[in-house]
Amino acid sequence: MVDKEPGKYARLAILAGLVEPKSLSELGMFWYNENGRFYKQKARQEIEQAVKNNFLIKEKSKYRTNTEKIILSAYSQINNKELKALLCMFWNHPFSQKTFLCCKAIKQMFNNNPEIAAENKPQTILNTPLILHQLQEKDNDVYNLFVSMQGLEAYTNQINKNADKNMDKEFENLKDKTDWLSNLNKIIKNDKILFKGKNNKLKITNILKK
Amino acid sequence: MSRLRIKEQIEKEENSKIKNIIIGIIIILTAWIVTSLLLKITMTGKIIITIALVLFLAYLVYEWYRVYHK
Repeated sequence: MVDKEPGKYARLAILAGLVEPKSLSELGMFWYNENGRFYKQKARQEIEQAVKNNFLIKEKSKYRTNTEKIILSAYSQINNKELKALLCMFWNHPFSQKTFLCCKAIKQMFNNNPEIAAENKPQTILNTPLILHQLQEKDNDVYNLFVSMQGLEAYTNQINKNADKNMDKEFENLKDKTDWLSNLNKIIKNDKILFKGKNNKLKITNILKK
Repeated sequence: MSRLRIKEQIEKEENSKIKNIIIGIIIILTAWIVTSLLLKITMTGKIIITIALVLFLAYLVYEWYRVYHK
């Protein structure tokens, strides 16, 4: 069975619940600063549909994203099995999730605009930090230009803050950290495969070909 | 401009641990050479110093093990 594409409110719930579950009220406050926004009939229907399609998991009154499914579906187009395994391993690590997929960072990635956030696919959220690492490695000037053009300063600052907070909590020891880093390095070397995809917000394929 | 610092942080931590362990080993070897070969001390003294240095070396190896394999 093909899963139906989630609607706008379901997509926002998916983005906000990648790391921590959120209630409808918390979702409304988080995206719109309005308590009742996600209690609207349309929003509730979309969220219920997302629960049926297994994109969201209901935990009492809260909704948690099925992160594993989102990661798998985001990379379903990748044919290279080794790269796919690396990406899944990278994103299933609690440090990666808590650092890059925390709701604050995601909101800042889209300049706190829920409308823009809802337009983007999960690939954008997963690929942006990898793209940033890759650009930083390849060409610092291009990295700076890209961050400033896309308005990602607050996002990168948030990632650095999250990393500082989670570095000692989420890694067991230095070996765990260096394994994670070597995984990241292997992924960002695979630019040809990873960043060929169509990405509406982040048109950087030409920069990477430089 | 805000750079992503995660890679740098991990690399810095790894380099600093390795550097400290290498410095520790160099100190042990130097101390052993000075005490056992250069200074004129009794055989018992040499044995005691060697044991102390071996214990220090064992501590460094343990630290290295603890860092990489909890």
